[in-house]
Amino acid sequence: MSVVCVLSLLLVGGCGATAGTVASSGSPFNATDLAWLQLAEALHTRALPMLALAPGRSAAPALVELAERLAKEHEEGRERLRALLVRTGAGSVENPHAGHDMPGMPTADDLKALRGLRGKGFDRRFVPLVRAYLDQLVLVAEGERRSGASEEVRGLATTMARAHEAELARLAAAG
Amino acid sequence: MRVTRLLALLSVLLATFAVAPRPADAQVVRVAEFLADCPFSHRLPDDPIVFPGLPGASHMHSFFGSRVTNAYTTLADLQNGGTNCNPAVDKSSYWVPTFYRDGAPVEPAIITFYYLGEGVRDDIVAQTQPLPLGLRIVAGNAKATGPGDGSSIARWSCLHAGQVPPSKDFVTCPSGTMLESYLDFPQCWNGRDLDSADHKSHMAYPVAGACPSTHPVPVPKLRQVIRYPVSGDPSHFRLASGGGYTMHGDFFNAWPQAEMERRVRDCIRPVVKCGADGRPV
Repeated sequence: MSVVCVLSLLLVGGCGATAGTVASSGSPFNATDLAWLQLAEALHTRALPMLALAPGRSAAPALVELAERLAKEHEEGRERLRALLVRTGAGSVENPHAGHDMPGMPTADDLKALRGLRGKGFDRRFVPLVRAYLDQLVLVAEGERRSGASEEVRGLATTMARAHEAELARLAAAG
Repeated sequence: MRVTRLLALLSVLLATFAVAPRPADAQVVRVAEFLADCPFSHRLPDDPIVFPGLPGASHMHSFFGSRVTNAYTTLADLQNGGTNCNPAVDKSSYWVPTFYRDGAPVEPAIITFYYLGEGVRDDIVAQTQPLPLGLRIVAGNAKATGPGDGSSIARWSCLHAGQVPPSKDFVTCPSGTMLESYLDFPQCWNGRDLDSADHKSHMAYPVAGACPSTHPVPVPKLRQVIRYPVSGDPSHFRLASGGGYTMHGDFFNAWPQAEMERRVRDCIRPVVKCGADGRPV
Protein backbone atom coordinates (compact mmCIF):
# COMPACT_ATOMS: atom_id res chain seq x y z
CA MET A 1 0.00 0.00 0.00
CA SER A 2 1.34 3.42 -0.90
CA VAL A 3 1.96 6.08 1.75
CA VAL A 4 -0.93 8.15 0.42
CA CYS A 5 -3.20 5.16 0.76
CA VAL A 6 -2.16 4.55 4.35
CA LEU A 7 -2.85 8.19 5.20
CA SER A 8 -6.24 8.17 3.54
CA LEU A 9 -6.98 4.89 5.30
CA LEU A 10 -6.42 6.62 8.62
CA LEU A 11 -8.44 9.67 7.62
CA VAL A 12 -11.44 8.17 5.92
CA GLY A 13 -10.97 4.49 6.64
CA GLY A 14 -10.89 3.29 3.09
CA CYS A 15 -8.54 2.73 0.21
CA GLY A 16 -10.66 0.94 -2.33
CA ALA A 17 -10.56 2.00 -5.96
CA THR A 18 -13.78 3.74 -6.69
CA ALA A 19 -13.65 4.91 -10.30
CA GLY A 20 -16.96 4.39 -12.01
CA THR A 21 -18.62 2.36 -9.24
CA VAL A 22 -21.60 3.28 -7.09
CA ALA A 23 -19.07 4.50 -4.54
CA SER A 24 -18.45 7.85 -6.21
CA SER A 25 -17.25 10.81 -4.19
CA GLY A 26 -19.91 12.01 -1.74
CA SER A 27 -21.23 8.49 -1.17
CA PRO A 28 -20.53 7.04 2.27
CA PHE A 29 -19.87 3.63 0.66
CA ASN A 30 -16.62 2.62 -0.98
CA ALA A 31 -15.82 -0.34 -3.22
CA THR A 32 -14.81 -2.48 -0.23
CA ASP A 33 -18.18 -1.91 1.47
CA LEU A 34 -20.00 -2.98 -1.65
CA ALA A 35 -17.75 -5.98 -2.28
CA TRP A 36 -18.11 -7.21 1.30
CA LEU A 37 -21.90 -6.84 1.32
CA GLN A 38 -22.22 -8.78 -1.94
CA LEU A 39 -19.79 -11.51 -0.91
CA ALA A 40 -21.26 -11.98 2.57
CA GLU A 41 -24.73 -12.18 1.02
CA ALA A 42 -23.56 -14.77 -1.49
CA LEU A 43 -21.87 -16.82 1.26
CA HIS A 44 -25.04 -16.82 3.36
CA THR A 45 -27.14 -17.84 0.36
CA ARG A 46 -24.93 -20.83 -0.40
CA ALA A 47 -24.70 -21.99 3.20
CA LEU A 48 -28.37 -21.84 4.21
CA PRO A 49 -29.37 -24.99 2.26
CA MET A 50 -26.43 -26.79 3.88
CA LEU A 51 -27.53 -25.81 7.40
CA ALA A 52 -31.04 -27.05 6.63
CA LEU A 53 -29.72 -30.58 6.03
CA ALA A 54 -28.70 -31.28 9.63
CA PRO A 55 -32.09 -32.10 11.19
CA GLY A 56 -32.82 -35.75 10.46
CA ARG A 57 -29.27 -36.54 9.42
CA SER A 58 -26.88 -35.55 12.19
CA ALA A 59 -26.07 -37.94 15.04
CA ALA A 60 -25.50 -35.14 17.55
CA PRO A 61 -28.50 -33.29 19.05
CA ALA A 62 -26.24 -30.37 19.97
CA LEU A 63 -25.20 -30.06 16.33
CA VAL A 64 -28.79 -30.16 15.11
CA GLU A 65 -29.71 -27.44 17.57
CA LEU A 66 -26.75 -25.31 16.50
CA ALA A 67 -27.54 -25.79 12.82
CA GLU A 68 -31.15 -24.73 13.36
CA ARG A 69 -30.04 -21.70 15.34
CA LEU A 70 -27.49 -20.74 12.69
CA ALA A 71 -30.06 -21.14 9.95
CA LYS A 72 -32.40 -18.71 11.67
CA GLU A 73 -29.74 -16.16 12.62
CA HIS A 74 -28.03 -16.24 9.25
CA GLU A 75 -31.33 -15.81 7.47
CA GLU A 76 -31.78 -12.65 9.52
CA GLY A 77 -28.19 -11.63 8.88
CA ARG A 78 -28.73 -12.01 5.17
CA GLU A 79 -31.71 -9.66 5.34
CA ARG A 80 -29.56 -7.04 7.05
CA LEU A 81 -26.94 -7.39 4.34
CA ARG A 82 -29.58 -7.05 1.61
CA ALA A 83 -31.06 -3.96 3.25
CA LEU A 84 -27.65 -2.28 3.25
CA LEU A 85 -27.02 -3.37 -0.33
CA VAL A 86 -30.18 -1.57 -1.39
CA ARG A 87 -28.92 1.56 0.38
CA THR A 88 -25.65 1.45 -1.57
CA GLY A 89 -27.63 1.62 -4.79
CA ALA A 90 -26.45 -1.83 -5.80
CA GLY A 91 -29.52 -3.70 -4.58
CA SER A 92 -30.56 -4.57 -8.10
CA VAL A 93 -27.06 -5.32 -9.39
CA GLU A 94 -26.86 -9.05 -9.85
CA ASN A 95 -24.52 -10.55 -7.29
CA PRO A 96 -21.36 -11.32 -9.29
CA HIS A 97 -20.47 -14.27 -7.07
CA ALA A 98 -23.63 -16.32 -7.42
CA GLY A 99 -22.73 -19.59 -9.13
CA HIS A 100 -19.02 -19.26 -8.48
CA ASP A 101 -17.17 -21.49 -6.07
CA MET A 102 -15.74 -19.15 -3.44
CA PRO A 103 -13.78 -20.11 -0.32
CA GLY A 104 -16.09 -20.94 2.57
CA MET A 105 -18.92 -22.00 0.28
CA PRO A 106 -20.08 -25.58 0.13
CA THR A 107 -19.92 -26.75 -3.49
CA ALA A 108 -22.74 -28.48 -5.32
CA ASP A 109 -20.84 -31.75 -4.81
CA ASP A 110 -20.62 -31.09 -1.06
CA LEU A 111 -24.39 -30.61 -0.80
CA LYS A 112 -25.06 -33.69 -2.88
CA ALA A 113 -22.77 -35.79 -0.68
CA LEU A 114 -24.32 -34.44 2.53
CA ARG A 115 -27.82 -35.32 1.37
CA GLY A 116 -26.79 -38.97 1.11
CA LEU A 117 -25.13 -39.21 4.52
CA ARG A 118 -26.50 -40.03 7.98
CA GLY A 119 -25.23 -40.09 11.57
CA LYS A 120 -21.53 -39.78 12.25
CA GLY A 121 -20.73 -39.90 8.53
CA PHE A 122 -22.82 -36.78 8.03
CA ASP A 123 -21.25 -34.99 11.00
CA ARG A 124 -17.72 -35.72 9.78
CA ARG A 125 -18.41 -33.95 6.52
CA PHE A 126 -20.79 -31.29 7.83
CA VAL A 127 -18.68 -29.87 10.67
CA PRO A 128 -15.58 -28.91 8.60
CA LEU A 129 -17.82 -27.31 5.98
CA VAL A 130 -19.62 -25.18 8.56
CA ARG A 131 -16.29 -24.28 10.15
CA ALA A 132 -14.85 -23.22 6.78
CA TYR A 133 -17.96 -21.10 6.16
CA LEU A 134 -17.77 -19.35 9.52
CA ASP A 135 -13.98 -18.89 9.24
CA GLN A 136 -14.40 -17.20 5.88
CA LEU A 137 -17.15 -14.93 7.18
CA VAL A 138 -14.83 -13.81 9.99
CA LEU A 139 -11.93 -13.26 7.55
CA VAL A 140 -13.84 -11.07 5.13
CA ALA A 141 -15.61 -9.19 7.95
CA GLU A 142 -12.16 -8.28 9.31
CA GLY A 143 -11.17 -7.00 5.87
CA GLU A 144 -14.30 -4.85 5.74
CA ARG A 145 -13.57 -3.44 9.19
CA ARG A 146 -10.07 -2.45 8.08
CA SER A 147 -10.76 -1.09 4.62
CA GLY A 148 -14.44 -0.19 4.42
CA ALA A 149 -15.52 3.47 4.38
CA SER A 150 -19.08 3.34 5.68
CA GLU A 151 -19.40 3.33 9.47
CA GLU A 152 -22.69 1.51 9.17
CA VAL A 153 -21.31 -1.30 7.03
CA ARG A 154 -18.20 -1.61 9.17
CA GLY A 155 -20.45 -1.71 12.23
CA LEU A 156 -22.42 -4.61 10.76
CA ALA A 157 -19.19 -6.41 9.90
CA THR A 158 -17.96 -5.97 13.49
CA THR A 159 -21.20 -7.30 14.95
CA MET A 160 -21.25 -10.25 12.58
CA ALA A 161 -17.58 -11.13 13.16
CA ARG A 162 -18.20 -11.33 16.91
CA ALA A 163 -21.28 -13.47 16.41
CA HIS A 164 -19.42 -15.84 14.07
CA GLU A 165 -16.54 -16.21 16.53
CA ALA A 166 -19.06 -17.28 19.17
CA GLU A 167 -20.68 -19.67 16.68
CA LEU A 168 -17.28 -21.22 15.93
CA ALA A 169 -16.78 -21.86 19.65
CA ARG A 170 -20.22 -23.52 19.89
CA LEU A 171 -19.42 -25.60 16.81
CA ALA A 172 -16.22 -26.84 18.43
CA ALA A 173 -18.19 -27.81 21.52
CA ALA A 174 -21.04 -29.49 19.62
CA GLY A 175 -19.06 -31.28 16.88
CA MET B 1 39.14 18.59 -54.95
CA ARG B 2 39.80 17.15 -51.53
CA VAL B 3 36.56 18.56 -50.06
CA THR B 4 34.40 17.06 -52.79
CA ARG B 5 36.07 13.66 -52.34
CA LEU B 6 35.55 13.92 -48.58
CA LEU B 7 31.92 14.82 -49.11
CA ALA B 8 31.53 11.93 -51.53
CA LEU B 9 33.10 9.54 -49.02
CA LEU B 10 30.87 10.88 -46.26
CA SER B 11 27.72 10.41 -48.32
CA VAL B 12 28.73 6.84 -49.17
CA LEU B 13 29.26 6.10 -45.48
CA LEU B 14 25.94 7.68 -44.55
CA ALA B 15 24.14 5.71 -47.24
CA THR B 16 25.71 2.50 -45.96
CA PHE B 17 24.61 3.04 -42.38
CA ALA B 18 21.27 4.74 -43.00
CA VAL B 19 18.26 2.47 -42.47
CA ALA B 20 16.77 1.64 -45.82
CA PRO B 21 13.10 2.60 -45.84
CA ARG B 22 10.89 -0.50 -45.63
CA PRO B 23 9.06 -0.98 -48.91
CA ALA B 24 5.39 -0.25 -48.35
CA ASP B 25 3.16 -3.32 -47.94
CA ALA B 26 5.70 -5.80 -49.18
CA GLN B 27 7.08 -6.85 -45.81
CA VAL B 28 4.36 -6.20 -43.19
CA VAL B 29 1.87 -8.84 -42.14
CA ARG B 30 -1.66 -7.46 -42.62
CA VAL B 31 -3.10 -8.31 -39.20
CA ALA B 32 -3.97 -5.58 -36.69
CA GLU B 33 -2.14 -6.88 -33.64
CA PHE B 34 0.36 -6.23 -30.89
CA LEU B 35 1.04 -8.41 -27.87
CA ALA B 36 2.53 -8.90 -24.44
CA ASP B 37 4.01 -12.16 -23.14
CA CYS B 38 3.53 -12.20 -19.38
CA PRO B 39 4.67 -15.29 -17.41
CA PHE B 40 3.21 -16.50 -14.13
CA SER B 41 4.16 -14.25 -11.22
CA HIS B 42 2.37 -15.33 -8.02
CA ARG B 43 -0.78 -16.88 -6.53
CA LEU B 44 -3.10 -15.27 -3.99
CA PRO B 45 -6.77 -15.56 -2.98
CA ASP B 46 -7.02 -11.83 -3.67
CA ASP B 47 -8.74 -9.69 -6.31
CA PRO B 48 -8.19 -5.91 -6.32
CA ILE B 49 -10.98 -5.34 -8.85
CA VAL B 50 -13.76 -7.49 -7.39
CA PHE B 51 -12.68 -7.52 -3.71
CA PRO B 52 -10.63 -4.37 -3.12
CA GLY B 53 -9.42 -4.26 0.48
CA LEU B 54 -10.57 -7.82 1.26
CA PRO B 55 -7.54 -10.17 1.27
CA GLY B 56 -8.49 -13.84 1.19
CA ALA B 57 -12.02 -13.12 -0.05
CA SER B 58 -11.47 -14.66 -3.45
CA HIS B 59 -10.88 -18.12 -4.81
CA MET B 60 -7.24 -18.64 -5.66
CA HIS B 61 -5.97 -16.49 -8.50
CA SER B 62 -2.85 -16.86 -10.62
CA PHE B 63 -1.35 -13.48 -11.44
CA PHE B 64 0.61 -12.73 -14.62
CA GLY B 65 2.69 -9.64 -15.44
CA SER B 66 2.78 -7.27 -12.46
CA ARG B 67 4.57 -8.79 -9.51
CA VAL B 68 2.91 -6.62 -6.87
CA THR B 69 -0.78 -7.32 -7.24
CA ASN B 70 -2.82 -8.07 -4.12
CA ALA B 71 -6.14 -7.03 -2.54
CA TYR B 72 -4.95 -3.47 -1.95
CA THR B 73 -3.36 -2.76 -5.32
CA THR B 74 -4.11 0.58 -6.97
CA LEU B 75 -3.05 1.88 -10.38
CA ALA B 76 -0.14 3.76 -8.77
CA ASP B 77 1.06 0.51 -7.18
CA LEU B 78 1.15 -1.15 -10.59
CA GLN B 79 2.92 1.79 -12.18
CA ASN B 80 5.55 1.81 -9.45
CA GLY B 81 5.92 -1.95 -9.23
CA GLY B 82 7.86 -4.57 -11.14
CA THR B 83 6.54 -6.75 -13.93
CA ASN B 84 7.72 -9.85 -15.74
CA CYS B 85 5.97 -8.98 -19.00
CA ASN B 86 7.75 -8.70 -22.29
CA PRO B 87 7.61 -5.77 -23.08
CA ALA B 88 8.76 -4.59 -19.68
CA VAL B 89 6.80 -1.35 -20.16
CA ASP B 90 3.55 -3.28 -19.73
CA LYS B 91 2.93 -2.94 -16.01
CA SER B 92 -0.62 -4.24 -16.30
CA SER B 93 -1.87 -6.98 -14.05
CA TYR B 94 -3.70 -9.94 -15.55
CA TRP B 95 -5.18 -12.80 -13.55
CA VAL B 96 -7.29 -15.95 -13.85
CA PRO B 97 -8.69 -18.55 -11.45
CA THR B 98 -5.93 -21.03 -10.58
CA PHE B 99 -5.96 -24.34 -12.48
CA TYR B 100 -5.69 -27.58 -10.50
CA ARG B 101 -4.88 -31.14 -11.54
CA ASP B 102 -5.74 -33.71 -8.88
CA GLY B 103 -5.88 -30.91 -6.30
CA ALA B 104 -2.43 -29.49 -7.07
CA PRO B 105 -2.04 -26.10 -8.81
CA VAL B 106 -0.63 -26.18 -12.33
CA GLU B 107 0.50 -22.87 -13.76
CA PRO B 108 0.46 -22.18 -17.50
CA ALA B 109 3.59 -22.64 -19.56
CA ILE B 110 2.68 -20.06 -22.21
CA ILE B 111 0.70 -16.88 -21.50
CA THR B 112 0.11 -14.37 -24.28
CA PHE B 113 -2.10 -11.30 -24.34
CA TYR B 114 -2.98 -10.28 -27.88
CA TYR B 115 -4.37 -6.84 -28.55
CA LEU B 116 -6.33 -7.10 -31.78
CA GLY B 117 -8.12 -4.93 -34.30
CA GLU B 118 -10.81 -7.38 -35.39
CA GLY B 119 -14.44 -8.10 -34.66
CA VAL B 120 -15.53 -4.72 -35.99
CA ARG B 121 -15.72 -3.23 -39.49
CA ASP B 122 -12.48 -2.09 -41.14
CA ASP B 123 -13.41 1.59 -40.94
CA ILE B 124 -13.93 1.21 -37.18
CA VAL B 125 -10.58 -0.57 -36.76
CA ALA B 126 -9.02 2.47 -38.41
CA GLN B 127 -10.45 4.62 -35.58
CA THR B 128 -9.45 2.39 -32.67
CA GLN B 129 -8.70 4.34 -29.50
CA PRO B 130 -6.11 3.43 -26.85
CA LEU B 131 -7.29 1.45 -23.84
CA PRO B 132 -7.51 4.09 -21.10
CA LEU B 133 -4.97 4.05 -18.29
CA GLY B 134 -6.42 2.41 -15.18
CA LEU B 135 -9.19 0.54 -17.02
CA ARG B 136 -10.38 -2.58 -15.20
CA ILE B 137 -12.30 -5.37 -16.93
CA VAL B 138 -13.54 -8.77 -15.86
CA ALA B 139 -14.37 -11.07 -18.80
CA GLY B 140 -16.01 -14.46 -18.69
CA ASN B 141 -19.10 -15.58 -16.87
CA ALA B 142 -18.77 -16.31 -13.19
CA LYS B 143 -22.38 -17.40 -13.12
CA ALA B 144 -22.01 -20.06 -15.80
CA THR B 145 -23.81 -23.08 -14.47
CA GLY B 146 -22.63 -25.61 -17.05
CA PRO B 147 -21.08 -26.03 -20.48
CA GLY B 148 -24.46 -25.57 -22.13
CA ASP B 149 -24.87 -22.14 -20.57
CA GLY B 150 -24.99 -19.72 -23.49
CA SER B 151 -23.57 -16.92 -21.39
CA SER B 152 -20.24 -18.70 -20.92
CA ILE B 153 -17.56 -17.37 -23.27
CA ALA B 154 -14.89 -19.79 -22.08
CA ARG B 155 -13.25 -21.66 -24.95
CA TRP B 156 -10.96 -24.62 -24.36
CA SER B 157 -8.97 -26.37 -27.09
CA CYS B 158 -5.67 -28.20 -27.66
CA LEU B 159 -2.42 -26.64 -28.82
CA HIS B 160 -0.99 -28.67 -31.70
CA ALA B 161 -4.18 -30.75 -31.88
CA GLY B 162 -6.63 -28.66 -33.88
CA GLN B 163 -8.71 -31.73 -34.66
CA VAL B 164 -10.12 -31.65 -31.11
CA PRO B 165 -13.25 -29.48 -31.32
CA PRO B 166 -13.19 -26.47 -28.95
CA SER B 167 -15.62 -26.49 -26.03
CA LYS B 168 -16.81 -24.24 -23.22
CA ASP B 169 -15.59 -26.91 -20.80
CA PHE B 170 -12.26 -28.73 -20.53
CA VAL B 171 -11.42 -30.99 -23.49
CA THR B 172 -9.34 -34.17 -23.77
CA CYS B 173 -6.02 -33.31 -25.40
CA PRO B 174 -3.77 -36.01 -26.88
CA SER B 175 -0.61 -36.78 -24.95
CA GLY B 176 2.21 -34.43 -25.99
CA THR B 177 -0.16 -31.52 -26.66
CA MET B 178 -1.32 -28.79 -24.28
CA LEU B 179 -4.73 -27.73 -22.98
CA GLU B 180 -5.33 -24.13 -23.96
CA SER B 181 -7.84 -21.46 -23.03
CA TYR B 182 -8.95 -18.57 -25.22
CA LEU B 183 -10.87 -15.68 -23.73
CA ASP B 184 -11.85 -12.49 -25.59
CA PHE B 185 -12.46 -9.32 -23.61
CA PRO B 186 -15.12 -6.81 -24.71
CA GLN B 187 -13.76 -4.15 -27.07
CA CYS B 188 -16.29 -1.33 -26.91
CA TRP B 189 -15.90 1.21 -24.08
CA ASN B 190 -18.52 3.63 -22.79
CA GLY B 191 -15.89 6.36 -23.01
CA ARG B 192 -16.42 7.48 -19.43
CA ASP B 193 -15.91 4.88 -16.71
CA LEU B 194 -12.77 2.94 -15.83
CA ASP B 195 -14.90 0.43 -13.92
CA SER B 196 -18.53 -0.34 -13.08
CA ALA B 197 -20.42 -2.01 -10.23
CA ASP B 198 -20.29 -5.42 -11.93
CA HIS B 199 -16.87 -4.67 -13.54
CA LYS B 200 -18.36 -5.41 -16.97
CA SER B 201 -21.09 -2.87 -17.78
CA HIS B 202 -18.69 -0.09 -18.78
CA MET B 203 -17.60 -2.37 -21.66
CA ALA B 204 -19.56 -4.19 -24.36
CA TYR B 205 -18.97 -6.67 -27.14
CA PRO B 206 -19.61 -5.39 -30.67
CA VAL B 207 -22.93 -6.04 -32.38
CA ALA B 208 -23.02 -6.63 -36.15
CA GLY B 209 -19.44 -5.43 -36.55
CA ALA B 210 -19.93 -2.15 -34.76
CA CYS B 211 -19.83 -0.77 -31.23
CA PRO B 212 -23.29 -0.13 -29.74
CA SER B 213 -24.30 3.49 -29.15
CA THR B 214 -24.13 2.88 -25.39
CA HIS B 215 -20.46 1.94 -25.72
CA PRO B 216 -19.30 3.89 -28.75
CA VAL B 217 -15.51 3.91 -28.27
CA PRO B 218 -13.69 1.07 -30.08
CA VAL B 219 -10.57 -0.09 -28.23
CA PRO B 220 -8.24 -3.01 -29.01
CA LYS B 221 -9.77 -6.43 -28.31
CA LEU B 222 -7.74 -8.13 -25.60
CA ARG B 223 -7.46 -11.88 -26.29
CA GLN B 224 -6.07 -13.93 -23.42
CA VAL B 225 -4.40 -17.15 -24.62
CA ILE B 226 -3.16 -19.49 -21.90
CA ARG B 227 -1.56 -22.90 -22.37
CA TYR B 228 -1.31 -25.40 -19.54
CA PRO B 229 1.24 -28.25 -19.57
CA VAL B 230 -1.48 -30.85 -19.14
CA SER B 231 -3.35 -33.26 -21.37
CA GLY B 232 -5.66 -36.25 -21.09
CA ASP B 233 -8.73 -36.96 -18.96
CA PRO B 234 -10.35 -33.66 -17.88
CA SER B 235 -11.98 -35.23 -14.82
CA HIS B 236 -8.64 -34.54 -13.11
CA PHE B 237 -8.91 -30.81 -13.80
CA ARG B 238 -10.62 -28.07 -11.87
CA LEU B 239 -10.51 -24.29 -11.71
CA ALA B 240 -10.53 -22.49 -8.36
CA SER B 241 -13.89 -21.10 -9.50
CA GLY B 242 -15.36 -24.50 -10.46
CA GLY B 243 -15.71 -26.23 -13.84
CA GLY B 244 -13.90 -25.19 -17.03
CA TYR B 245 -16.95 -23.18 -18.11
CA THR B 246 -16.34 -20.78 -15.17
CA MET B 247 -13.08 -19.61 -16.78
CA HIS B 248 -12.70 -15.87 -16.59
CA GLY B 249 -10.00 -13.24 -16.79
CA ASP B 250 -9.26 -9.96 -15.04
CA PHE B 251 -7.33 -7.06 -16.57
CA PHE B 252 -6.07 -3.95 -14.79
CA ASN B 253 -4.50 -1.69 -17.40
CA ALA B 254 -1.18 -0.04 -16.52
CA TRP B 255 0.34 0.35 -19.99
CA PRO B 256 2.04 3.76 -20.09
CA GLN B 257 -0.19 5.97 -22.21
CA ALA B 258 2.51 6.79 -24.76
CA GLU B 259 3.31 3.10 -25.29
CA MET B 260 -0.35 2.16 -25.71
CA GLU B 261 -0.95 5.07 -28.09
CA ARG B 262 2.08 4.25 -30.21
CA ARG B 263 0.94 0.67 -30.68
CA VAL B 264 -2.62 1.65 -31.53
CA ARG B 265 -1.28 4.17 -34.04
CA ASP B 266 1.41 1.96 -35.64
CA CYS B 267 -0.16 -1.49 -35.45
CA ILE B 268 -3.95 -1.52 -34.92
CA ARG B 269 -5.18 1.37 -37.07
CA PRO B 270 -2.95 0.66 -40.08
CA VAL B 271 -3.54 -3.12 -39.71
CA VAL B 272 0.04 -4.18 -39.12
CA LYS B 273 1.19 -7.17 -37.11
CA CYS B 274 3.57 -6.04 -34.38
CA GLY B 275 5.60 -7.88 -31.79
CA ALA B 276 6.04 -7.28 -28.09
CA ASP B 277 8.08 -4.14 -28.84
CA GLY B 278 5.18 -2.59 -30.72
CA ARG B 279 7.08 -2.64 -34.02
CA PRO B 280 6.15 -4.53 -37.18
CA VAL B 281 7.36 -8.13 -37.11
